[in-house]
Amino acid sequence: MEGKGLVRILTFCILVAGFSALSAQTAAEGKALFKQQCSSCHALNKKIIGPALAGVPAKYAGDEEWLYKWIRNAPGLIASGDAKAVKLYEENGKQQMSAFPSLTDAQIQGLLAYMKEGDGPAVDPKGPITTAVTDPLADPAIYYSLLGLVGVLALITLLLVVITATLVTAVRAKEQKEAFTFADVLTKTREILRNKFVITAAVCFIFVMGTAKLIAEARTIGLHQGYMPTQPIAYSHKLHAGEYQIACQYCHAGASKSKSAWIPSANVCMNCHKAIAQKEYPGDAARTAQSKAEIAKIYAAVGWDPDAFQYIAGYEEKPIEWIRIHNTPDHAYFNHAQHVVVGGIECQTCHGPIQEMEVVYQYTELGMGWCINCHRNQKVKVLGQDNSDDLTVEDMGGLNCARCHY
Amino acid sequence: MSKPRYWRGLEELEQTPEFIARAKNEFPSDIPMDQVLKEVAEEDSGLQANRRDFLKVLGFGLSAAALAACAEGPVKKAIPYVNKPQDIIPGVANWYASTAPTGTPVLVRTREGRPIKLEGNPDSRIAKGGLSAIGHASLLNLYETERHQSASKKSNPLDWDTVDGEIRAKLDQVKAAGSAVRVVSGSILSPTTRQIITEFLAQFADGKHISYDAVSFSAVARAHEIVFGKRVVPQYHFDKAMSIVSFSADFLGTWISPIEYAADYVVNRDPEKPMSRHLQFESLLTTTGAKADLRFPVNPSQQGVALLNLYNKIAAKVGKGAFPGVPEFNTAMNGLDLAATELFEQRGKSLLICGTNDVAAQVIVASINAMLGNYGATLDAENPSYYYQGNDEAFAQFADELSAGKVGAVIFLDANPVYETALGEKVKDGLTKTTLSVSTAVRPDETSALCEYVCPDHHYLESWGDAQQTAVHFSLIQPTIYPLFKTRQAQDSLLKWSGSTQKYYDYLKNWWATAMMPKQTQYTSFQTFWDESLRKGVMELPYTAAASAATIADTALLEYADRLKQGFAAEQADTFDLVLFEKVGIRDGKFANNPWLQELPDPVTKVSWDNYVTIPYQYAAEKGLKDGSVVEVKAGGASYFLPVVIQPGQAKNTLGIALGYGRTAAGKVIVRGNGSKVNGRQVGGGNVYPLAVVANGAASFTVAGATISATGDTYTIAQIQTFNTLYDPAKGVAFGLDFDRTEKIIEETTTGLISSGEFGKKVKEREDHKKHLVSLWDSHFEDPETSRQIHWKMAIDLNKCTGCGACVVACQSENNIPVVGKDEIARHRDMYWMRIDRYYSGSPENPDVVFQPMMCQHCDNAPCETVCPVLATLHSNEGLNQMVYPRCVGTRYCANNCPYKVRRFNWFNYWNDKDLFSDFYSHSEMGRLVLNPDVTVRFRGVMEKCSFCVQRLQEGKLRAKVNANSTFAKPEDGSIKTACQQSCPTGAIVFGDFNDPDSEVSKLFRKDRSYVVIEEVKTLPNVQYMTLVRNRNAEETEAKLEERHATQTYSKA
Repeated sequence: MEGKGLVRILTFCILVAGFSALSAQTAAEGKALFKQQCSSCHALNKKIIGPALAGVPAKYAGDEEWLYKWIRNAPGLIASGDAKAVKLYEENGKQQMSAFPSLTDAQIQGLLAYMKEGDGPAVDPKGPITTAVTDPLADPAIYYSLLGLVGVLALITLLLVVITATLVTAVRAKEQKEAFTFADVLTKTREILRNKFVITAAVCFIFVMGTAKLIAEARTIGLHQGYMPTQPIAYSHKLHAGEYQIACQYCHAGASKSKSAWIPSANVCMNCHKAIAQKEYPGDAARTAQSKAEIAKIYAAVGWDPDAFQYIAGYEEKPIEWIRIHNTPDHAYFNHAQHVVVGGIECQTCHGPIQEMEVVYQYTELGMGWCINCHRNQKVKVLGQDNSDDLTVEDMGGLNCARCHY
Repeated sequence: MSKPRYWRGLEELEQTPEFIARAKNEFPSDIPMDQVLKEVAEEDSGLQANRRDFLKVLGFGLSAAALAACAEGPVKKAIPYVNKPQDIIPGVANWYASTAPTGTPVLVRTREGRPIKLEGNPDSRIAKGGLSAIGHASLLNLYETERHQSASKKSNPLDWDTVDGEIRAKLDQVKAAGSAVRVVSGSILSPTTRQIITEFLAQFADGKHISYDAVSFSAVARAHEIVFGKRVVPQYHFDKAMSIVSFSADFLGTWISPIEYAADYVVNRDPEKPMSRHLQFESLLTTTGAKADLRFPVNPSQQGVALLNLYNKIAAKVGKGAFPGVPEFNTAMNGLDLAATELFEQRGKSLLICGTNDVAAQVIVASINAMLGNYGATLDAENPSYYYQGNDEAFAQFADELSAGKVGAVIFLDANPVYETALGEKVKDGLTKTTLSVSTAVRPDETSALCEYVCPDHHYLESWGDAQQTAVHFSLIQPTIYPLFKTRQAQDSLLKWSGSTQKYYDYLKNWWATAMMPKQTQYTSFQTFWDESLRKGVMELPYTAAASAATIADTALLEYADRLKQGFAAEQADTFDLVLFEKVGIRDGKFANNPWLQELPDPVTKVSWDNYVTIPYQYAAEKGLKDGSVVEVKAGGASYFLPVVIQPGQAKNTLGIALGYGRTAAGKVIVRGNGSKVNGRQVGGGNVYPLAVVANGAASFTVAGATISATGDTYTIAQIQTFNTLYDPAKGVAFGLDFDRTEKIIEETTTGLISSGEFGKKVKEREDHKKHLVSLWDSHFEDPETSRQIHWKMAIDLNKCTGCGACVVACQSENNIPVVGKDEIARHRDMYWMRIDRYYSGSPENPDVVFQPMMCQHCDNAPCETVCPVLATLHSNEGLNQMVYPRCVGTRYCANNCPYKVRRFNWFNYWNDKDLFSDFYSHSEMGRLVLNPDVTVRFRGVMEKCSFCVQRLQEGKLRAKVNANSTFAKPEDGSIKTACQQSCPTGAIVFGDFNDPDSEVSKLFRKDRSYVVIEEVKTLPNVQYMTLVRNRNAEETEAKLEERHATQTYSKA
C-alpha cells in the first residue's frame, strides 16, 4: 500500500536526521580560533567586554581590508586617529581591543566565516572554554538544535503531505476517480497514527531523547557554574590583575604552597592600600567616591586611620567575610599546590579570564566530569624535564578514586 | 572436626552454639526494621505499619531527596585572617614540640591554629616517636566543654582579680596565724614548677609540698632509700637486658614509663639476633605477661615467698648466705630455678623487676639486682627516673593533719585525692576545717567540687612548661592554641600568690637560661639555645657514670624477708587476693572522662566501656559463672557489684578489679563508663581506691581476704573480641579441606624450632603450597623493577606488637573515627578501622597469647571490590583498596565478603546524632574542632575502613615532588608514616613502597618470617605479618605443646 510505504520512508527520514544531528560535530577552524583568542572578550550574539560579533561580516562587507587591519592592530589604528576606529572605540565604552598581529589572512577569514555562520542558538555568554574534548551529550545546546531540526522536518513533512494530497487529487480528477474527501484524509491520518510501527518508533524516539535529556540535566545538579555573588567589598580583579598586572600569587600565595589558594588576609591588601586610599576616575566623581568607600572597608577591618596614616591602637580587628564562590564538596579533596606547582597549570585554566572579571564568577563547572576530562586529556608538563613524556594525568594514576576522595 | 589451635575467647574454645552461629554472620544482629517502622507508625498515628507504609515512607524519602538535590546550595563564607600570622600557612599543618601529661615528649600537629593530632617526639629517647593511647587521647580533653571555664568561688564564677584578692587575704590570715600551708600535687615532672612551689611555700612558717601518686610505686623509691641511701626510682634499661624477670610488673602496659620500656624491650627481641629471655611471674594476665617467653601464674600472697626463694637460689650461685626458714615454693616447670639460672648467667645484663608496691618486696628485688651487678648496667640509680615521686606516707600524714584541722590553707595542684586515694573520706572531712582551700583542676573532679576556690589551670596544650623525665632528660611544653576559656596557668597563679609580678613564661625562660644554658656547649646565645630547644622540644644531658653500691647489710635484709614470709599461704580455700590494676586506657582514672579511652578495649580482656572483675578460669568453671554474670565482691569492708570477665591465665584465688572507675563528679562520659542498673542494683563502675590503704610505708594495691558471691543476675559487657571472627568452621567443611583456619591467621614459632630446622620446613611447605594457588585475575601491577608507580605495602611484626592499643587511638584521632558507645559495641558495631585481635592458645589455665593488629589488608585480589554493585570500592594502581564514600549506597556486601572483617558500616550519623551520641564531645562546635580537616567525616549509611592513611600518602608524595622538582619523584623510604605506624612505640608496623627494593618493607617481605593471613583464599593482601617467635628451647616448646594437646581433649566438643 502506497500510504504505508510513504509513512515508513518519512519516519525513517525523521529518525535518521534526528540521530545524525546528535552525532554531527564540525569543528571549524574559525570556531576553534575564536574560542582561543576572542572569546575572553567577545561572544557572537551578546556583548561581553567587546561587542557581539555575529553581525560583523555583514556590517563590514566590502570593507574587509579595514576590518583585517582593525583585527590585527586595533590599538594602533585608534592611535593613528582613523575616524572609523576612534568611533568604534568610543561606541564601545573605550574598551581597547588587544592587537593580534600574528593572525594570517586565512585565519581571519576563518574567524569571519564562523561569525557569519555562528554555532546555533543559545550561546551562554559565560560559557567556558571547554576542555579539549567535551562530552557531546553534556552540552545542552545540542538538544535545542535537535528540537529546531525536528520542527523543520515536521514542516517539510506537512508540506509534502499537502503537495502529495494536491497531486493525488489532481491525478484522481484526471483519472475521473472520486476525489478525496476530508473524511478520507482523516481516516488515512488516523490509520497512520494507529500504525504500530509509527507508535513504536515515536515511543522509542521520545524515550531515547527524554532519557538523554534527563541524564544531561541530572549531571548539572549541584554545579554552580556562573555563580556570581555580591561580595562585601566590590573588589575588581579586572583592575588589579588585568589593568595593574598584579601577579595572581602575590595575593593568592597559598596556590603554590597549600591545598587552598587563600583569600588574602587584609594585611596583604594593606601592602599597597596604605598608600592608595582611592582610585581617581577623572571626571567621574561618583566612581572615585565609590572606590574610596570600598577601600575604606579594608581600613575598617584592620583599623587603619588613613588621615593620620597609622594603625589605630587597640582596634578590634574585624575580619572580612567574603562569600565563597568556588566550592568543592566535602568529600572531594583538591590541592592547589599539586596543580599549580607540579601540574604547572595556569590559574585561568580553571578560573577563566579572571583578569577581565569586574566581579568574579565561577567560570568552569567544577564537577567531577570536568575534573576527569582534564585528567584524561591534558598532557602533563613533566617537572624538571624539557621534553614532555606525552603522558596524561590518567597515565600517572590520576583517575584513582583515592587521589581526591578520602 | 578438630578444635582450633587458637581461640579468641572461651566461647570459641568451648565452641558454644551461639559462637558457631555468630561466626557465620558479619552483622550478627538483624536490622529491626519491622520494629522501627512499627514504633514510628505507632508514635505518629497509633497504627501498625505494614509494607505499604514502608513504601510510602521510602517514596517520600526518595522524592524529598531528589527535591533537596535540586535546591540551591547554601551560601558559604570564606573568612581570611585580618593579619595572617607569618608561620601559619592555611591548609598546611604546623608542628610544635610539647610534652604530654604522661611525661612523654610529643609533637603537636596544628591546623589553622588548632591542635588536631599528637605524635611522640622522635628526637626523644623517652618517646622515640611513640605515644601511648592515653597520650593520644589527652588531645580530646582540650576540646572538652565540661572543663572549668573560669575561676569560681563555691561554684559561682568570679573574675581573677577578685579571686586573687580574696585568696591573698586568706593566705595572709593563715600566715599571721602561723598555721600550716600545704600544696598537694601528683608527681611533678617540671623543675620550674617544683621551684615555684618551694618559693611559694617559703613565705610561710609551716609550708610543705605533699606529692602523691594515685597509682603509687613509692615502694620502689623507698626500697632504694633503704638499700642505697637514695630515695630514687632508677632508670631501667630494658635494651641492655638479655634476661628479664618480672614479678607482676606490667612494664609494657602500665608500669612507670611503659612507652620507653616497650621501645627498649623490643631491641633484643629480634630473632635474627641473640634474643633476650623474658620470664613473667604474675597473678593477672597483663600485656607484658602475654609477651613473655614463659609466664607463670603466681598468687599475690605467694609472690613474696617466690621472691625469697629466688633470692636464695641466686645467693647460692653468687656464694652469699640464704634467708633461713623460707618455705619451699616453685611454679610449674620449675620457673624459679629457670629465673635464677638465667638471671645469674646473664648477670650484669639481667634485670629483675617487681610491680607490687610493697617495700619489703622491692628491697629484696633491689638486693637481688645489686647481687647480680645489674646496677649501672640495666638499672641506673645514679641517673634516676623522675616519674612517681609520690610519697604515700607523707600523704597519709597530711590527711591526718587535715582531718585534725591543723592545716590552714591547702592548694591542690590538679590533684584529686578525694577520689584517687584510700584516704579520700578523711580529706573530704578535713577540707571543711581549713581557712582556705583551692583547686587548680582543669576539669571538675571530686576534690575541686569540695574546694572553696577553683582556679582552673590551662589544658597543657594551652600552657608553657617544662618536664624532667629523668635526671638527664628534659623537655619543654609550649602553647599550641590560645586559651579557649578564662583559665590561668597554675604556675602563674602560684607566682601571683607569692607576691611576684613575674609571668611564668619569663620565669621559665630565666630558669632555662640559668640552669640549663650552662649545661650545654652547642649554643652561645641564649635566644638561639631557647629557640632550638623549643623547636626540638627535648634536651638530653650526658649520663653520670658510677655504680651504686648497696649500703644495707645482709642481716638488715632479714627484717624484710620476714615481712614477706608473713602473708604466705600455701593453699587458700574460699578467700581471694584482690588485685587492683590499671587498665591501659583508663589508667588511674584522671583522664577517664574521655570517650576515646573509655571505648578503647582493654588489650587483654577486650572489654570496652566497663569495669568488671576478672576471675580465674577454673573458678568460673566450678561455679558455673559466665562472662557478664554479676557478682558481689567484698573486700576491705567495701562491697562492689560487678560483672565477671573470665580471664584465662589468671592465678588461682585471685581477683582483679580495675582502678579509675566509679568517679562521681566528673562528667558525662564517665557516667557512661560507670555501668548501669540491673534488677534495681547499680552494676559496674566502682571506685576501688579506698581499698589501696597504706601499709608498711606504701599504698598496697593487693587486698587479701576478698570474697565473691554470685547474684544470679547478668549484665551485658561490650567485648570486641567475640565478633569480627575470621574463623568459620562451616567454611572449612565446605571447602572439603582438612585445614585449621585459625592456624592460617597466626603463625608462631620458637627459637627452639628455628634452630632445629622445624620452622624452615614449615616455611618451605608454605612456599610449595603457594605454587598451587591459582588466581582468576591477572596481576594489577607492573614490574616492580621498572615501575614508576609506588606499590604501598605494610609489614607488621607480631614479635614487636605488645597490644597496647596506642595505634588504635592514633588511628581514631587521625581518621575522624567516631565513638559509638557501649550499646553499639555490644551490638558489634564498633567503628575502629584497626583493632588488635588477641588469640589464646594452649590451656586456659595458662595460655599463650598473641596480639595481632588487624586492619584492611588492601588485597590486590580484593573480595570486597568484586561484589560492590556501585563500584564504591576499587583498587588503585598503588595497591590501595580505595573506599569512595559518595558512591557507597550501603549494601554491605563488601563487609560480608571480607575474610578479614575489617569493614565498618555507619549505622548512624555519629557526628551529628543528638539523641544517641551526644555525650561523646562530637556534638558541640568545640568537640568537632578535633577533626582532621583532610579526612571526610562519613555520613550514615556508608562503609568505611582503613585507607592506609591515604591523606598522608598524598601529602607526602606532593612534598616529594615539590622538593625534588620532579614529577616522578617518589617519597623517600620512611618519610611517610601511617598514623598507626607512627604511634607504635616498638616499631612493629613498617610501611613503604614495595617497588623500591631497598625499602624497609620490601626487605621485610622477603624474610622467611613474613606470612599472609588466610593465604589460601588468595586475596594477595598488601599487609603481611612477621611470624611470632618465642624464645623457648626445644623442651619448653614441647612442654607447652603438650599443654596445648591436653586442652584439646580438655574441652569436650
